[in-house]
Amino acid sequence: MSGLPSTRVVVADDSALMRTVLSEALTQAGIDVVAVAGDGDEALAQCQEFSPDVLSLDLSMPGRDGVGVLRELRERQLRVPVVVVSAFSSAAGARAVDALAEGAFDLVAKPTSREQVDAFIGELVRRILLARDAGRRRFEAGGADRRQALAAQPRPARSALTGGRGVVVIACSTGGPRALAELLPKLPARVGAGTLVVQHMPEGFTASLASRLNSVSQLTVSEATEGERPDSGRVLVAPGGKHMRIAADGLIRLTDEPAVGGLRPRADLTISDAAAVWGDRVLLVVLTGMGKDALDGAAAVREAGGRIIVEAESSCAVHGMPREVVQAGFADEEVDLGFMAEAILAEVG
Amino acid sequence: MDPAEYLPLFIAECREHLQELNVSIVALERNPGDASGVDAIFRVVHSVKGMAGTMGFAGMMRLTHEMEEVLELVRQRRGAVSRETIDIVLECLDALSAALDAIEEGGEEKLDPEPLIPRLRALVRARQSSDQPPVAAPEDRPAPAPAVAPAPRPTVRVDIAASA
Repeated sequence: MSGLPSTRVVVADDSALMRTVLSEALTQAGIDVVAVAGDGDEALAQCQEFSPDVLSLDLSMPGRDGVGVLRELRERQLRVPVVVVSAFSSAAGARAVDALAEGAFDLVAKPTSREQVDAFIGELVRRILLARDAGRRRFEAGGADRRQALAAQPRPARSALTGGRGVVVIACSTGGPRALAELLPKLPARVGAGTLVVQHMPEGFTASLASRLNSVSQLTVSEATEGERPDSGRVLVAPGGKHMRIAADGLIRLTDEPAVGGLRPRADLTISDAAAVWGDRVLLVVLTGMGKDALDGAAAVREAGGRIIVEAESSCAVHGMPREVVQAGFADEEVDLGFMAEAILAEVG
Repeated sequence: MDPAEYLPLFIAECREHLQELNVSIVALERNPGDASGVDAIFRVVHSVKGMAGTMGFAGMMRLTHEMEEVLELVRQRRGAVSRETIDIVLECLDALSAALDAIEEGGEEKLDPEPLIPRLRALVRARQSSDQPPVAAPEDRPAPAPAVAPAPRPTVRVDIAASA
Protein backbone atom coordinates (compact mmCIF):
# COMPACT_ATOMS: atom_id res chain seq x y z
CA MET A 1 0.00 0.00 0.00
CA SER A 2 1.65 3.23 1.11
CA GLY A 3 4.56 4.07 3.35
CA LEU A 4 2.21 5.12 6.12
CA PRO A 5 1.88 2.81 9.09
CA SER A 6 -1.10 0.56 8.44
CA THR A 7 -4.18 0.41 10.58
CA ARG A 8 -4.19 -2.76 12.65
CA VAL A 9 -7.58 -4.24 13.37
CA VAL A 10 -9.01 -7.26 15.20
CA VAL A 11 -12.34 -8.51 13.82
CA ALA A 12 -14.65 -10.27 16.29
CA ASP A 13 -17.80 -12.00 15.04
CA ASP A 14 -19.29 -15.38 15.90
CA SER A 15 -20.08 -16.03 12.24
CA ALA A 16 -17.27 -17.50 10.15
CA LEU A 17 -18.86 -15.95 7.07
CA MET A 18 -18.86 -12.48 8.63
CA ARG A 19 -15.27 -12.88 9.81
CA THR A 20 -14.22 -13.81 6.28
CA VAL A 21 -16.23 -11.13 4.51
CA LEU A 22 -15.12 -8.39 6.89
CA SER A 23 -11.48 -9.44 6.91
CA GLU A 24 -11.26 -9.58 3.14
CA ALA A 25 -13.11 -6.32 2.60
CA LEU A 26 -10.99 -4.50 5.18
CA THR A 27 -7.80 -5.96 3.75
CA GLN A 28 -8.81 -4.75 0.29
CA ALA A 29 -9.28 -1.29 1.78
CA GLY A 30 -5.68 -1.35 2.98
CA ILE A 31 -6.40 -2.23 6.58
CA ASP A 32 -4.25 -4.82 8.31
CA VAL A 33 -6.47 -7.41 9.97
CA VAL A 34 -4.06 -8.79 12.55
CA ALA A 35 -6.44 -11.38 14.02
CA VAL A 36 -10.02 -12.62 13.97
CA ALA A 37 -12.02 -13.80 16.97
CA GLY A 38 -15.10 -16.02 17.16
CA ASP A 39 -16.16 -15.06 20.67
CA GLY A 40 -15.67 -12.45 23.34
CA ASP A 41 -12.88 -14.11 25.27
CA GLU A 42 -10.89 -14.67 22.11
CA ALA A 43 -11.39 -11.01 21.18
CA LEU A 44 -10.05 -9.91 24.57
CA ALA A 45 -7.04 -12.21 24.32
CA GLN A 46 -6.21 -10.84 20.90
CA CYS A 47 -6.57 -7.23 21.98
CA GLN A 48 -4.17 -8.02 24.81
CA GLU A 49 -1.71 -9.75 22.50
CA PHE A 50 -1.81 -7.48 19.44
CA SER A 51 -2.81 -4.06 20.85
CA PRO A 52 -4.71 -3.27 17.65
CA ASP A 53 -5.64 0.27 16.62
CA VAL A 54 -9.31 -0.73 16.49
CA LEU A 55 -11.54 -3.66 17.42
CA SER A 56 -14.46 -4.39 15.08
CA LEU A 57 -16.96 -5.99 17.43
CA ASP A 58 -20.11 -8.03 16.87
CA LEU A 59 -22.39 -7.81 19.89
CA SER A 60 -24.23 -11.10 19.75
CA MET A 61 -21.71 -13.81 20.54
CA PRO A 62 -21.84 -16.97 22.63
CA GLY A 63 -20.26 -16.72 26.07
CA ARG A 64 -19.03 -13.21 26.76
CA ASP A 65 -20.99 -10.91 24.46
CA GLY A 66 -19.93 -7.59 22.96
CA VAL A 67 -21.02 -5.45 25.90
CA GLY A 68 -19.13 -7.83 28.19
CA VAL A 69 -16.03 -7.34 26.05
CA LEU A 70 -16.30 -3.56 26.36
CA ARG A 71 -16.59 -3.76 30.14
CA GLU A 72 -13.63 -6.11 30.36
CA LEU A 73 -11.50 -3.91 28.07
CA ARG A 74 -12.10 -1.07 30.48
CA GLU A 75 -11.47 -3.29 33.48
CA ARG A 76 -8.11 -4.36 32.05
CA GLN A 77 -7.40 -0.79 30.93
CA LEU A 78 -6.89 -1.89 27.35
CA ARG A 79 -7.29 1.27 25.34
CA VAL A 80 -8.66 -0.14 22.12
CA PRO A 81 -11.27 1.97 20.29
CA VAL A 82 -14.22 -0.23 19.36
CA VAL A 83 -16.50 -0.03 16.33
CA VAL A 84 -19.65 -2.07 16.90
CA VAL A 85 -21.05 -3.96 13.92
CA SER A 86 -24.63 -5.07 14.52
CA ALA A 87 -27.74 -6.14 12.65
CA PHE A 88 -30.73 -4.20 13.89
CA SER A 89 -33.55 -5.62 16.00
CA SER A 90 -35.28 -4.35 19.13
CA ALA A 91 -33.03 -6.43 21.35
CA ALA A 92 -29.88 -5.79 19.33
CA GLY A 93 -30.69 -2.08 19.30
CA ALA A 94 -30.84 -2.01 23.07
CA ARG A 95 -27.52 -3.88 23.27
CA ALA A 96 -25.91 -1.59 20.70
CA VAL A 97 -26.93 1.46 22.65
CA ASP A 98 -25.58 -0.16 25.83
CA ALA A 99 -22.32 -0.71 23.96
CA LEU A 100 -22.12 2.93 22.91
CA ALA A 101 -22.85 4.05 26.44
CA GLU A 102 -20.14 1.64 27.64
CA GLY A 103 -17.69 3.54 25.49
CA ALA A 104 -17.77 1.96 22.04
CA PHE A 105 -16.63 4.59 19.56
CA ASP A 106 -19.29 4.08 16.95
CA LEU A 107 -21.87 1.79 15.46
CA VAL A 108 -22.31 0.45 11.93
CA ALA A 109 -25.52 -1.40 11.05
CA LYS A 110 -25.12 -4.65 9.10
CA PRO A 111 -26.69 -4.38 5.65
CA THR A 112 -30.26 -5.49 5.04
CA SER A 113 -30.12 -5.76 1.26
CA ARG A 114 -27.65 -6.42 -1.52
CA GLU A 115 -27.67 -2.75 -2.52
CA GLN A 116 -26.42 -1.76 0.91
CA VAL A 117 -23.46 -4.12 1.12
CA ASP A 118 -20.84 -1.93 -0.52
CA ALA A 119 -22.03 1.14 1.37
CA PHE A 120 -21.81 -0.87 4.58
CA ILE A 121 -18.21 -1.84 3.90
CA GLY A 122 -17.33 1.75 3.01
CA GLU A 123 -18.94 3.03 6.17
CA LEU A 124 -17.16 0.45 8.30
CA VAL A 125 -13.77 1.39 6.83
CA ARG A 126 -14.43 5.08 7.37
CA ARG A 127 -15.43 4.59 11.00
CA ILE A 128 -12.51 2.30 11.71
CA LEU A 129 -10.11 4.98 10.44
CA LEU A 130 -11.87 7.64 12.51
CA ALA A 131 -11.81 5.43 15.58
CA ARG A 132 -8.09 4.89 15.07
CA ASP A 133 -7.42 8.65 14.80
CA ALA A 134 -9.63 9.43 17.77
CA GLY A 135 -7.86 6.73 19.77
CA ARG A 136 -4.44 8.11 18.98
CA ARG A 137 -5.48 11.67 19.80
CA ARG A 138 -7.41 10.79 22.89
CA PHE A 139 -4.68 8.79 24.51
CA GLU A 140 -2.16 11.56 23.83
CA ALA A 141 -4.48 14.34 25.01
CA GLY A 142 -3.66 16.14 28.21
CA GLY A 143 -5.86 17.90 30.77
CA ALA A 144 -9.36 19.20 30.27
CA ASP A 145 -10.25 22.84 29.58
CA ARG A 146 -13.18 22.80 32.02
CA ARG A 147 -15.19 25.85 31.11
CA GLN A 148 -14.06 28.64 28.93
CA ALA A 149 -16.05 31.67 27.81
CA LEU A 150 -15.51 32.37 24.15
CA ALA A 151 -17.87 35.13 23.11
CA ALA A 152 -16.10 37.59 20.88
CA GLN A 153 -18.73 40.27 21.39
CA PRO A 154 -20.54 41.33 24.56
CA ARG A 155 -23.42 39.01 25.34
CA PRO A 156 -26.23 39.24 27.86
CA ALA A 157 -25.07 37.67 31.11
CA ARG A 158 -28.07 35.33 31.09
CA SER A 159 -30.17 34.07 28.30
CA ALA A 160 -33.89 34.70 28.03
CA LEU A 161 -34.53 31.00 28.51
CA THR A 162 -35.66 30.67 32.09
CA GLY A 163 -39.28 29.97 32.90
CA GLY A 164 -39.88 27.08 30.51
CA ARG A 165 -40.59 29.29 27.54
CA GLY A 166 -37.75 28.33 25.27
CA VAL A 167 -35.95 25.27 24.07
CA VAL A 168 -32.61 23.53 24.44
CA VAL A 169 -31.38 21.73 21.32
CA ILE A 170 -28.59 19.21 21.77
CA ALA A 171 -26.82 18.08 18.60
CA CYS A 172 -24.38 15.16 18.58
CA SER A 173 -22.99 12.38 16.43
CA THR A 174 -20.02 10.08 16.99
CA GLY A 175 -19.58 9.57 20.73
CA GLY A 176 -22.95 11.18 21.37
CA PRO A 177 -24.75 8.27 23.04
CA ARG A 178 -22.07 8.05 25.67
CA ALA A 179 -22.00 11.81 26.16
CA LEU A 180 -25.79 11.92 26.52
CA ALA A 181 -25.67 9.04 29.00
CA GLU A 182 -23.29 11.11 31.10
CA LEU A 183 -25.03 14.46 30.67
CA LEU A 184 -28.77 13.82 30.90
CA PRO A 185 -28.75 12.02 34.29
CA LYS A 186 -27.19 15.15 35.80
CA LEU A 187 -30.17 17.30 34.84
CA PRO A 188 -33.09 17.58 37.28
CA ALA A 189 -36.60 16.29 36.53
CA ARG A 190 -37.58 19.68 35.22
CA VAL A 191 -35.42 22.33 33.60
CA GLY A 192 -36.28 25.80 32.44
CA ALA A 193 -36.96 24.76 28.85
CA GLY A 194 -37.99 21.77 26.76
CA THR A 195 -35.07 19.73 25.42
CA LEU A 196 -34.65 18.33 21.90
CA VAL A 197 -31.86 15.92 20.96
CA VAL A 198 -30.61 15.21 17.46
CA GLN A 199 -28.22 12.26 17.47
CA HIS A 200 -27.08 10.77 14.16
CA MET A 201 -27.90 7.10 14.39
CA PRO A 202 -29.20 4.38 12.05
CA GLU A 203 -32.94 4.05 11.84
CA GLY A 204 -34.39 1.89 14.59
CA PHE A 205 -31.60 2.43 17.10
CA THR A 206 -32.86 5.80 18.36
CA ALA A 207 -35.83 4.22 20.18
CA SER A 208 -33.37 2.04 22.10
CA LEU A 209 -31.24 5.09 22.82
CA ALA A 210 -34.20 7.06 24.16
CA SER A 211 -35.31 4.13 26.29
CA ARG A 212 -31.87 3.68 27.77
CA LEU A 213 -31.44 7.37 28.49
CA ASN A 214 -34.90 7.44 30.05
CA SER A 215 -33.91 4.66 32.41
CA VAL A 216 -31.00 6.67 33.82
CA SER A 217 -32.47 10.20 33.73
CA GLN A 218 -34.85 12.13 35.94
CA LEU A 219 -36.19 13.90 32.87
CA THR A 220 -38.54 11.79 30.76
CA VAL A 221 -36.70 10.82 27.57
CA SER A 222 -38.53 9.46 24.53
CA GLU A 223 -38.36 9.44 20.75
CA ALA A 224 -40.19 12.46 19.43
CA THR A 225 -43.58 11.82 17.85
CA GLU A 226 -45.57 13.86 15.39
CA GLY A 227 -47.35 16.87 16.88
CA GLU A 228 -45.61 16.82 20.28
CA ARG A 229 -44.73 20.03 22.07
CA PRO A 230 -41.35 20.46 23.78
CA ASP A 231 -41.90 20.32 27.51
CA SER A 232 -39.65 21.32 30.39
CA GLY A 233 -39.93 17.86 31.95
CA ARG A 234 -39.06 15.99 28.79
CA VAL A 235 -36.30 15.24 26.34
CA LEU A 236 -37.44 14.44 22.78
CA VAL A 237 -34.99 12.49 20.63
CA ALA A 238 -35.23 12.80 16.84
CA PRO A 239 -36.07 9.36 15.42
CA GLY A 240 -33.45 7.91 13.05
CA GLY A 241 -34.48 8.18 9.41
CA LYS A 242 -36.65 11.30 9.91
CA HIS A 243 -35.99 15.00 10.10
CA MET A 244 -37.31 16.62 13.25
CA ARG A 245 -38.78 19.94 12.16
CA ILE A 246 -40.65 22.44 14.31
CA ALA A 247 -43.70 24.20 12.90
CA ALA A 248 -44.53 27.84 13.61
CA ASP A 249 -46.95 26.72 16.34
CA GLY A 250 -44.02 25.10 18.19
CA LEU A 251 -45.13 21.52 17.52
CA ILE A 252 -42.85 18.75 16.29
CA ARG A 253 -43.18 17.68 12.66
CA LEU A 254 -41.34 14.54 11.59
CA THR A 255 -40.63 14.60 7.88
CA ASP A 256 -39.27 12.32 5.17
CA GLU A 257 -37.53 15.15 3.33
CA PRO A 258 -34.30 13.96 1.68
CA ALA A 259 -31.19 13.42 3.78
CA VAL A 260 -29.01 16.54 3.94
CA GLY A 261 -25.34 15.75 3.41
CA GLY A 262 -26.15 12.08 3.98
CA LEU A 263 -27.81 12.81 7.31
CA ARG A 264 -31.39 12.27 8.39
CA PRO A 265 -32.05 13.57 10.97
CA ARG A 266 -30.01 16.67 10.23
CA ALA A 267 -29.56 18.81 13.34
CA ASP A 268 -29.26 22.00 11.25
CA LEU A 269 -32.95 21.78 10.30
CA THR A 270 -34.17 21.33 13.86
CA ILE A 271 -31.91 24.09 15.17
CA SER A 272 -32.86 26.59 12.45
CA ASP A 273 -36.56 25.89 13.03
CA ALA A 274 -36.08 26.40 16.76
CA ALA A 275 -34.37 29.74 16.13
CA ALA A 276 -37.25 30.76 13.85
CA VAL A 277 -39.89 29.78 16.42
CA TRP A 278 -38.29 30.80 19.71
CA GLY A 279 -35.80 33.48 18.65
CA ASP A 280 -33.40 34.36 21.47
CA ARG A 281 -34.97 31.75 23.76
CA VAL A 282 -32.88 28.95 22.24
CA LEU A 283 -29.87 27.30 23.83
CA LEU A 284 -27.87 25.24 21.36
CA VAL A 285 -25.53 22.59 22.79
CA VAL A 286 -23.16 20.96 20.31
CA LEU A 287 -21.56 17.78 21.62
CA THR A 288 -19.01 15.36 20.18
CA GLY A 289 -19.40 14.34 16.55
CA MET A 290 -17.86 14.10 13.14
CA GLY A 291 -18.67 16.52 10.36
CA LYS A 292 -20.25 19.95 10.40
CA ASP A 293 -23.90 19.37 11.13
CA ALA A 294 -25.13 22.07 13.56
CA LEU A 295 -22.92 24.75 11.97
CA ASP A 296 -25.67 26.31 9.82
CA GLY A 297 -28.05 25.92 12.72
CA ALA A 298 -25.57 27.72 14.97
CA ALA A 299 -25.49 30.63 12.52
CA ALA A 300 -29.29 30.89 12.77
CA VAL A 301 -29.22 30.75 16.57
CA ARG A 302 -26.53 33.40 16.68
CA GLU A 303 -28.52 35.59 14.31
CA ALA A 304 -31.65 35.24 16.46
CA GLY A 305 -29.76 36.11 19.64
CA GLY A 306 -29.76 32.66 21.28
CA ARG A 307 -26.93 31.05 23.22
CA ILE A 308 -24.45 28.41 22.08
CA ILE A 309 -22.37 26.06 24.21
CA VAL A 310 -20.03 23.50 22.64
CA GLU A 311 -18.24 20.53 24.12
CA ALA A 312 -14.52 21.09 24.64
CA GLU A 313 -12.05 18.91 22.78
CA SER A 314 -10.89 17.44 26.09
CA SER A 315 -13.98 15.24 26.40
CA CYS A 316 -15.01 14.77 22.73
CA ALA A 317 -14.70 11.39 21.01
CA VAL A 318 -14.51 13.46 17.81
CA HIS A 319 -14.15 17.21 18.01
CA GLY A 320 -15.45 17.93 14.47
CA MET A 321 -18.89 19.42 15.07
CA PRO A 322 -17.96 21.59 18.09
CA ARG A 323 -14.79 22.74 16.38
CA GLU A 324 -16.67 23.97 13.31
CA VAL A 325 -18.93 26.10 15.51
CA VAL A 326 -15.99 27.51 17.48
CA GLN A 327 -14.01 28.30 14.33
CA ALA A 328 -16.96 30.15 12.84
CA GLY A 329 -17.00 32.32 15.97
CA PHE A 330 -20.52 31.28 17.00
CA ALA A 331 -19.82 29.61 20.35
CA ASP A 332 -20.40 31.48 23.60
CA GLU A 333 -18.76 28.91 25.79
CA GLU A 334 -16.61 25.80 25.44
CA VAL A 335 -17.24 23.25 28.17
CA ASP A 336 -15.81 19.87 29.11
CA LEU A 337 -18.59 17.28 29.27
CA GLY A 338 -18.09 16.84 33.00
CA PHE A 339 -19.28 20.45 33.50
CA MET A 340 -21.90 20.55 30.78
CA ALA A 341 -24.97 19.99 32.98
CA GLU A 342 -23.90 22.87 35.20
CA ALA A 343 -23.35 25.09 32.16
CA ILE A 344 -26.79 24.24 30.75
CA LEU A 345 -28.49 24.81 34.09
CA ALA A 346 -26.77 28.19 34.37
CA GLU A 347 -28.71 29.12 31.24
CA VAL A 348 -32.03 27.41 31.75
CA GLY A 349 -32.13 26.37 35.41
CA MET B 1 -17.64 -7.19 -2.54
CA ASP B 2 -19.04 -9.99 -4.65
CA PRO B 3 -21.41 -12.05 -2.48
CA ALA B 4 -21.27 -14.98 -4.92
CA GLU B 5 -17.72 -15.65 -3.80
CA TYR B 6 -18.93 -16.38 -0.29
CA LEU B 7 -21.93 -18.56 -1.18
CA PRO B 8 -20.41 -21.91 -0.15
CA LEU B 9 -19.37 -20.53 3.22
CA PHE B 10 -22.78 -18.91 3.70
CA ILE B 11 -24.67 -22.10 2.86
CA ALA B 12 -22.47 -24.28 5.05
CA GLU B 13 -22.72 -21.98 8.05
CA CYS B 14 -26.46 -21.44 7.68
CA ARG B 15 -27.06 -25.17 7.46
CA GLU B 16 -25.13 -25.66 10.66
CA HIS B 17 -27.21 -22.94 12.33
CA LEU B 18 -30.52 -24.35 11.10
CA GLN B 19 -29.47 -27.76 12.36
CA GLU B 20 -28.73 -26.23 15.74
CA LEU B 21 -32.03 -24.37 15.63
CA ASN B 22 -33.85 -27.61 14.96
CA VAL B 23 -32.20 -29.31 17.92
CA SER B 24 -32.97 -26.35 20.19
CA ILE B 25 -36.62 -26.27 19.17
CA VAL B 26 -37.05 -29.99 19.78
CA ALA B 27 -35.49 -29.50 23.21
CA LEU B 28 -37.81 -26.58 23.86
CA GLU B 29 -40.82 -28.66 22.87
CA ARG B 30 -39.87 -31.10 25.59
CA ASN B 31 -39.13 -28.38 28.10
CA PRO B 32 -41.06 -25.22 27.12
CA GLY B 33 -39.92 -23.30 30.21
CA ASP B 34 -36.20 -23.51 29.43
CA ALA B 35 -34.96 -19.93 29.15
CA SER B 36 -31.48 -20.88 27.97
CA GLY B 37 -33.08 -22.75 25.06
CA VAL B 38 -34.83 -19.58 23.93
CA ASP B 39 -31.56 -17.63 24.25
CA ALA B 40 -29.77 -20.13 22.02
CA ILE B 41 -32.52 -19.99 19.39
CA PHE B 42 -32.49 -16.23 19.53
CA ARG B 43 -28.76 -15.99 18.96
CA VAL B 44 -28.85 -18.40 16.03
CA VAL B 45 -31.68 -16.51 14.35
CA HIS B 46 -29.83 -13.23 14.85
CA SER B 47 -26.69 -14.72 13.30
CA VAL B 48 -28.57 -16.01 10.27
CA LYS B 49 -30.16 -12.60 9.86
CA GLY B 50 -26.79 -10.83 9.86
CA MET B 51 -25.40 -13.25 7.32
CA ALA B 52 -28.44 -13.13 5.04
CA GLY B 53 -28.40 -9.33 5.09
CA THR B 54 -24.72 -9.24 4.22
CA MET B 55 -25.24 -11.69 1.36
CA GLY B 56 -28.23 -9.70 0.15
CA PHE B 57 -30.89 -12.38 0.67
CA ALA B 58 -33.73 -10.04 1.53
CA GLY B 59 -36.39 -12.73 2.08
CA MET B 60 -34.32 -14.63 4.63
CA MET B 61 -33.35 -11.35 6.22
CA ARG B 62 -36.94 -10.20 6.63
CA LEU B 63 -38.16 -13.51 7.96
CA THR B 64 -35.38 -13.86 10.53
CA HIS B 65 -35.88 -10.26 11.58
CA GLU B 66 -39.54 -10.90 12.35
CA MET B 67 -38.65 -14.16 14.13
CA GLU B 68 -36.18 -12.29 16.26
CA GLU B 69 -38.76 -9.74 17.34
CA VAL B 70 -41.13 -12.51 18.46
CA LEU B 71 -38.38 -14.44 20.22
CA GLU B 72 -37.30 -11.30 22.03
CA LEU B 73 -40.72 -11.07 23.63
CA VAL B 74 -40.63 -14.74 24.53
CA ARG B 75 -37.27 -14.11 26.15
CA GLN B 76 -38.52 -11.13 28.11
CA ARG B 77 -41.46 -13.06 29.44
CA ARG B 78 -39.35 -15.89 30.72
CA GLY B 79 -42.53 -17.97 30.73
CA ALA B 80 -43.28 -21.21 28.96
CA VAL B 81 -43.23 -21.07 25.17
CA SER B 82 -46.60 -21.74 23.56
CA ARG B 83 -47.28 -24.62 21.20
CA GLU B 84 -48.33 -22.10 18.60
CA THR B 85 -45.01 -20.25 18.80
CA ILE B 86 -43.07 -23.48 18.40
CA ASP B 87 -45.17 -24.48 15.39
CA ILE B 88 -44.66 -21.20 13.60
CA VAL B 89 -40.93 -21.14 14.35
CA LEU B 90 -40.73 -24.66 12.89
CA GLU B 91 -42.52 -23.48 9.76
CA CYS B 92 -40.08 -20.60 9.46
CA LEU B 93 -37.24 -23.07 9.85
CA ASP B 94 -38.64 -25.10 6.96
CA ALA B 95 -38.93 -21.98 4.82
CA LEU B 96 -35.32 -21.04 5.61
CA SER B 97 -34.09 -24.56 4.76
CA ALA B 98 -35.97 -24.48 1.48
CA ALA B 99 -34.44 -21.08 0.70
CA LEU B 100 -30.96 -22.50 1.30
CA ASP B 101 -31.72 -25.43 -1.02
CA ALA B 102 -32.86 -23.01 -3.70
CA ILE B 103 -29.76 -20.88 -3.24
CA GLU B 104 -27.55 -23.92 -3.52
CA GLU B 105 -29.29 -25.00 -6.73
CA GLY B 106 -29.72 -21.73 -8.53
CA GLY B 107 -28.26 -18.90 -6.47
CA GLU B 108 -31.71 -17.41 -5.73
CA GLU B 109 -33.45 -17.78 -2.39
CA LYS B 110 -37.00 -18.03 -3.79
CA LEU B 111 -38.40 -17.24 -0.36
CA ASP B 112 -41.55 -15.23 0.08
CA PRO B 113 -41.76 -14.38 3.78
CA GLU B 114 -45.05 -12.51 3.40
CA PRO B 115 -47.45 -15.33 4.38
CA LEU B 116 -45.46 -16.07 7.55
CA ILE B 117 -44.95 -12.49 8.70
CA PRO B 118 -48.54 -11.66 9.72
CA ARG B 119 -48.70 -14.89 11.69
CA LEU B 120 -45.47 -14.08 13.52
CA ARG B 121 -46.74 -10.59 14.23
CA ALA B 122 -50.02 -11.96 15.53
CA LEU B 123 -47.99 -13.91 18.11
CA VAL B 124 -46.37 -10.67 19.24
CA ARG B 125 -49.72 -8.93 19.56
CA ALA B 126 -51.23 -11.83 21.47
CA ARG B 127 -48.25 -11.79 23.80
CA GLN B 128 -48.22 -8.09 24.33
CA SER B 129 -51.89 -7.95 25.24
CA SER B 130 -51.50 -10.78 27.74
CA ASP B 131 -48.36 -9.34 29.32
CA GLN B 132 -48.46 -7.90 32.78
CA PRO B 133 -48.31 -4.11 32.69
CA PRO B 134 -44.71 -3.13 33.48
CA VAL B 135 -43.97 -1.22 36.64
CA ALA B 136 -44.16 2.51 36.12
CA ALA B 137 -40.88 3.55 37.64
CA PRO B 138 -37.57 4.52 36.13
CA GLU B 139 -35.35 1.48 36.19
CA ASP B 140 -31.86 1.50 37.53
CA ARG B 141 -28.79 1.23 35.42
CA PRO B 142 -28.44 -2.35 34.19
CA ALA B 143 -26.39 -4.45 36.60
CA PRO B 144 -22.95 -5.72 35.51
CA ALA B 145 -23.39 -8.53 33.01
CA PRO B 146 -23.96 -11.98 34.42
CA ALA B 147 -22.82 -14.93 32.32
CA VAL B 148 -26.07 -14.81 30.37
CA ALA B 149 -27.11 -11.35 29.22
CA PRO B 150 -30.29 -10.23 30.95
CA ALA B 151 -33.30 -9.61 28.76
CA PRO B 152 -33.89 -5.89 28.43
CA ARG B 153 -36.74 -4.92 30.69
CA PRO B 154 -39.63 -2.98 29.26
CA THR B 155 -39.70 0.65 30.23
CA VAL B 156 -42.67 2.88 30.70
CA ARG B 157 -42.66 6.61 30.47
CA VAL B 158 -44.47 8.72 32.95
CA ASP B 159 -45.64 11.89 31.26
CA ILE B 160 -45.93 14.81 33.57
CA ALA B 161 -48.52 17.06 32.00
CA ALA B 162 -47.24 20.58 31.59
CA SER B 163 -47.06 23.16 28.88
CA ALA B 164 -43.81 24.11 27.24
